[in-house]
Amino acid sequence: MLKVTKLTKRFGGLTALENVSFKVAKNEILGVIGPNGSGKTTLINVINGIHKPDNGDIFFRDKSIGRLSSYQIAKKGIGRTFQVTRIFRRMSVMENMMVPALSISRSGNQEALLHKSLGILTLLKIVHLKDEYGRSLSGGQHKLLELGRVLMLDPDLILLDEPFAGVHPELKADLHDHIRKLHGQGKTFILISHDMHSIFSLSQRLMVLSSGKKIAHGTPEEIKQNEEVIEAYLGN
Amino acid sequence: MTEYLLLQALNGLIIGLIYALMALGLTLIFSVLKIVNFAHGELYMLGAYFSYYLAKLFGFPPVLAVLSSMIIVFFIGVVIEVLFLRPVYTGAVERKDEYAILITFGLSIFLQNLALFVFGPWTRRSPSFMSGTTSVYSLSISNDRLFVSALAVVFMIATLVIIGRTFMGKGLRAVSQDREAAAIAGINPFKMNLLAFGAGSALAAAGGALIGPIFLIFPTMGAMPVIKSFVIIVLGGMGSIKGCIIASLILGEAESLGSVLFPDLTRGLAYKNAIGLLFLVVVLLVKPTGLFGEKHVRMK
Amino acid sequence: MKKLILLFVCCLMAWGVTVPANAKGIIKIGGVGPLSAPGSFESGKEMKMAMEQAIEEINAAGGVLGKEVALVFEDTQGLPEKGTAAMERLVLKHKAVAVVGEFHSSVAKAEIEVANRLKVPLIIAEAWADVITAKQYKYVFRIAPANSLFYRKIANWIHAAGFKNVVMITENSDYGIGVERVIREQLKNAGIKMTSITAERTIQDFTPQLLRFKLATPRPDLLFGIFTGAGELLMVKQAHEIGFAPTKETALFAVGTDALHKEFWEITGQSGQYVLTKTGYYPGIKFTEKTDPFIKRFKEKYNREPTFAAMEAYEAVYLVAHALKRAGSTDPDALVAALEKTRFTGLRGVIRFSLDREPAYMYHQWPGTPAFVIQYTQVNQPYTDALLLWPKAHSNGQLMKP
Repeated sequence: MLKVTKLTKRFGGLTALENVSFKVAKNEILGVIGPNGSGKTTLINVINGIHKPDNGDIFFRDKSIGRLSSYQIAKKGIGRTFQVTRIFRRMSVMENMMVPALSISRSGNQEALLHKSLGILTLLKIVHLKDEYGRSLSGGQHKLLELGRVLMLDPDLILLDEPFAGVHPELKADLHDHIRKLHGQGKTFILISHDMHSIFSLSQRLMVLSSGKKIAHGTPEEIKQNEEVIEAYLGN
Repeated sequence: MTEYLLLQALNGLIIGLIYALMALGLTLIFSVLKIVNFAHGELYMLGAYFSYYLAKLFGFPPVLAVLSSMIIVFFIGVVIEVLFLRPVYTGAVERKDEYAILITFGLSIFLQNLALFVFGPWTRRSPSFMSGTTSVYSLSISNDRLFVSALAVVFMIATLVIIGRTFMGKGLRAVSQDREAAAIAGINPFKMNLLAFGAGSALAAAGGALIGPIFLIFPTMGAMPVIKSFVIIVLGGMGSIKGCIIASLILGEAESLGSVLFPDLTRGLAYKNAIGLLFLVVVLLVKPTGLFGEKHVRMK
Repeated sequence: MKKLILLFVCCLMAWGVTVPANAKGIIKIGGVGPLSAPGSFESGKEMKMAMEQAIEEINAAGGVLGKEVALVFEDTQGLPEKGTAAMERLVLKHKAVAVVGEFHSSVAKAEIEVANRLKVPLIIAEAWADVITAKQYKYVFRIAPANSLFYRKIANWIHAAGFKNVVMITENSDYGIGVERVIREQLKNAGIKMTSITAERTIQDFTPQLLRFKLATPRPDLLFGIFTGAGELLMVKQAHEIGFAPTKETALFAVGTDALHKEFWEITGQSGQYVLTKTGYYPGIKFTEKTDPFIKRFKEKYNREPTFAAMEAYEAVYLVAHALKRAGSTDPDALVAALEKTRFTGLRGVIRFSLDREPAYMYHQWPGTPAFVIQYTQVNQPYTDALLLWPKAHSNGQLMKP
C-alpha cells in the first residue's frame, strides 16, 4: 500500500532522515520506534506532505506522492494525528468534525455528513461533548477528537504520532480498542510511540530508527532480540 | 441636550457600522493570511469608483452598482493574492512579515496614483440610494445614512452566516486557527487564502461603495478609513470577528460622542481622529491582546 | 600621432561643450503645484493646465528672446519637503530661469527659502499666507492675494450684510488658521459675535458640530467654512442635510476654491443652492480684453470653467515671459528688476508689484487682486452665473434666502 524508497530529509546541516526505505502492506500496523530525535516525526511529516523530501520518493497505491501538498495527500486517503494535538480550539467539537466536509462535500450532502460525524463521535465515546469548544476539552479528549476528524475523510492509511502520550490509563485502553476495531475494519496504520507496551502489543511489524537511519525491522519478537536496537536505546 | 446626545449616539452607530464593514474585511484577511493588508483602503476606494461609474455611465441602480462593484473588486483581490501574496506561502520569500508589509504598502501607493491618473483628481459623489431626510423630533438625518447602515448590517450578517454556518466558513476558520491541521483535514490552504483575500476585498469595496454618496469619492479616500480599521482590529483583538464588530461600534460612538463632549468645544473636531487612538492606547494598557484577542498571532 | 589624438580629443571636447549649448534654443520655466495626495491635486491640475495653455500661446507668438519657452512642472504633493526638492531640481537640474505656481501656503513657505538661497525668481500663483511676501525676499513675488488683503474685504461684506452671530469651522492648516485670524480680528473690531472651531483637514463628518450650532440659542446667522478639498463639499452637504444652513435663519459661506469647480454640484446637489463663496474673478465685469479669449480657449481645451487659480497660474507664466523680454536676458537679478517694474495687463486688471514694506505682506505683492462675494441662486449654476453681492459697486442683486 505504501512504499518509501531511499528517503532523505535535511534541515540545514542536520540530516533528519537518511536513505530510509520500507513498505507497509494493506491492513497492517507498522510500529516505528527509536530514541528522541531519531527522525520518527519527520518521517510522518514527509509522508503526509508537511515537508518535501530532499531525496527519494513515496508511493501510495503505486502512485508517487512525494511532491504533493498535505491537503492533496489527505484527499488521497492518508490521515494523521499530531504528537501535540492540533485541534481547532475556537470551534466546537462538531465544527471540528465538519472541517473536512469542504473537501468531501461534493460526494455527500450535509445531512449524511452530520450523521457520519455523530456516528464517529459515538464510536469514540465523545458524542456528549459535541457542542463543547475545542479548548475546553482534556488532553485525552483532544486525541480522540483528532482521531475522529481524521476518520471523517475515510483514510485507508492512518499515521498516529504518539497517540498515548499524556493520556489517562483508562482512555489509553479505549484508544487501544479503537485502533484494533479500525484495524478490523481494514485500515492500515503507522504508529509512533514511546509507550513500549502499547506499541509492542499493537504492531504486527516494527521498524527502528536511530539518527535518521533505519537500523532494524521485523516482528516485535525479532526486535526484542536485536542487539543493535538494545544498544541504540542504551546508548541514549 | 439629551435629544442631541441621542442623535449623536445614533450617528455614531451608523458610522460604526460602516467602519465595521471595512474592518471585517481586514480581519478576514488577517486571520486567514496573517497579513496586514496596507492596501485595504485602496480596495475601498476602488469599490467606490467602480460603483460610481457603473451607476453614472451604465445606469445601474445604486444597490446593483454596489453588488457589481463588490464582485469586480473580489476578482481584483484574487489577482493581487495570486501575483503578490502567494510567494509568502510557497516559501519563495525569506522574511515573510516584512515582505507582506512592503508589498501591500507599495500596492497602496501604486493604486492611489493609478486612480489619480485614471479617474482624475476631481471629487465625485455617487447617486443617492434614497434621497431626502428623515426627521427625528426636531432633528433630521439623511435617508442615505439610514439606508447605508441597513445595507451594512445586511452585508455583515451575510458574512457572519457564511463564516459561521457554511462548510466554506469552517474551512476559513480552520485555516485561520491552524494552517497545517486544516491541510491535514483536506482543506486547500491556497484556495482559502484566495477566498479570504477576495472576500475581504469585496467587503472593503462594499464599504467604499456605500460611503460614496455620504463621504464622497476621491483617490485618497481610503487613507483615513484604513487607519481606523487598523485601530479597530487591534482594539478588537487581532483576528477576532466578534471583537472587530464590537470595536467598530465602540470607535464610532467614541468619535461621535467624544468630539461633542470634548471639554474644549472649539477643539472637539480637531481631535476627533485622535480619540480613537487614545482609546486604543488605554485598552491595550489594560488588556494587551485587545478586547477579544487570544494570544499573540503571528505568521508561521 | 600623439598630437593627432590630442587634437581629436580636444575637438571632441569642444564639440561636447558647444553642441548642447547650441541645441538649447529653449528657455525653461519651472512650475510647482500639488498633483497628488496629500495635496489638493484638483487645483494643482487646473493650474498646470492653465500654465500649459500660456506656454503654447507664447510659443505660437514666437517665444521670447528668439527662443522657445518650455514648462517643467514638478508635483509638490502639498508637502513642504517636496516643495524644497522640486525647487532644487527645477533650478539646479533643469536650469529653470524662473519658477511659478504653488497652491499650498505651507509648501510655498518652503519654496521661497530655496528661491532666495538659489537666487531664482519665484512667482507664487495661488498660496495666500501673509508670511510668503512678509519675509520680503528679493526673489519672491505673488499675484495671489495675501490672506489679510483679501479677507479684510470679505469681512467687510459680513459686516455690511448685517450678520450678528457668526460660527466658523476652520481646517487646521497654515491657510485655514491664517484666514481665521484675519476674519476673527475684523469681526471683533466690528463687534460681531463669533464662535470658531478647528478641525483636521481629513475630517469627513461635521454633523456633530453642525448639530450643536443648529441647536444653539441664539441660532447663528452665518456659517463660515474655511476648508478646502472634499472637506468643504462635505460640510456644505451635511449642513443642508441636518437643516442647519443655508436656511432662512442661517446663511452658509464656503471659502475654499472647490466651491467653484463644476464637481461642486455633483456632490452637493440641492445643498449647493444659496451657498455663498468668494472668487477672484467674476465674468460680468469687463476686466481686460484678454479675459474672454482666455476663458474661451481654456473651455475649448479642457471642457471646464477656469477658476481664478487657473487665471493666476496663466498670468504668472506670462509675467515671466514679459519680464524676460524686458530684461533681455535670463539673469536672475535683471529678471527681478524687470519684474519690479511690471505693468502687465493680465486677465483681471493691470498687474504690478508693490515695493511697500509696510504692511509687511505688501512687498512684491500685487495689491490690485480682486475679491468678490457671490451666491449660487440655482442648482447646477456655473459660478460665473452666480449672483454677485460684493463689492457693492459691481453688485447685481441682494443676498437671497431659501
